[in-house]
Amino acid sequence: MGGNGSIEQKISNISTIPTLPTVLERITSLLRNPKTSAEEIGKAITRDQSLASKVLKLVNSAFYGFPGKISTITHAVVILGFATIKNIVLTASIFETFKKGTQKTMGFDMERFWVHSVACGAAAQTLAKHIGSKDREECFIAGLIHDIGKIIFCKYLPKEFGQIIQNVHQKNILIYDSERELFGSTHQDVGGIIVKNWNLPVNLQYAVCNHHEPLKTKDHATITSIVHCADILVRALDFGNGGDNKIPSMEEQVWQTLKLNEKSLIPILEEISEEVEKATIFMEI
Amino acid sequence: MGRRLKNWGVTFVCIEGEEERREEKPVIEISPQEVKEQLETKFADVMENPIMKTLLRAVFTFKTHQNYD
Repeated sequence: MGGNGSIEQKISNISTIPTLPTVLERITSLLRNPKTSAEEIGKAITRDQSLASKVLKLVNSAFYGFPGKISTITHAVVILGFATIKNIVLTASIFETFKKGTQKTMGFDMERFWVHSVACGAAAQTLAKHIGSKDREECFIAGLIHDIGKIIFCKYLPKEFGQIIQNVHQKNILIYDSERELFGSTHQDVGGIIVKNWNLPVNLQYAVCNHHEPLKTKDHATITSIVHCADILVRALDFGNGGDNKIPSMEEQVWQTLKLNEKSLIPILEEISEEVEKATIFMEI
Repeated sequence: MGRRLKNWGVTFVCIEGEEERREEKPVIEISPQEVKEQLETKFADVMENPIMKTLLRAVFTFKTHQNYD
């Protein structure tokens, strides 16, 4: 229908595509300097009061393991370290930017969409732990934002998104297949444009761009496989809803990369379930 | 606060209070048969993939055990 690339063109032409708070750029730049102190990072975050309160709420949650113990941002930086704080600020920024004011589309439940996204983050983090990856926090973020393209579709191309959702309901297919059928481009492509514009780390860009086709890329294959698998597990466990009621097929190579087997799967599902429970704090910020 | 009380000679404090009661979500009872049917509907298009069959079995076991724990 719309032809390949037309959706991407439309998205690229939208000048009001949200940007992440400038504090994130400031923090990234501060972190590049090895002489930066925890106090300086703390001050940079505190300048954005709304963001600072979200960060404090998150660091004091069971998800980060310090419930109710951290009273200042500087304290949080000292306890959790620069890298973790940067990831928390990024996560809080994403919620700050997207969780409010997104247009409603008939048949697409935004609340359940966010539950699915948070659960996918928690599942990705659990899978990363299972294979001994050091990038657990980045996997959480990759899982959290893997479907960010759907939000952009919903907010900036509501007419097209409405058609996609209607097609999903009529044929009981994946959103991804509906997008391909109607417009050629998918939420993967749109999400890719956004995360690239935000200058997010390349591994996050790959994970967002390829989470439905993890074998398409050799670069950053592990994080992409983790997000692909996390999405499938979360759908199977019914945590939230990404907009359809189907489940994508898992590639054998992904299964092997993540060292999964029937025996290891049950404890992983149990752990994912527990982590998702802790991660519900993200729905409250 | 603890140190101040100790300085005053108070070595034992009993604090009374009410436990915060969380609203409990209603538990939706679902039979293993219903779990199986729901999963089979969701997995209908991917059952040719042996990995997805394994996943379905694992999720079924997990969900049904969770229901009776």
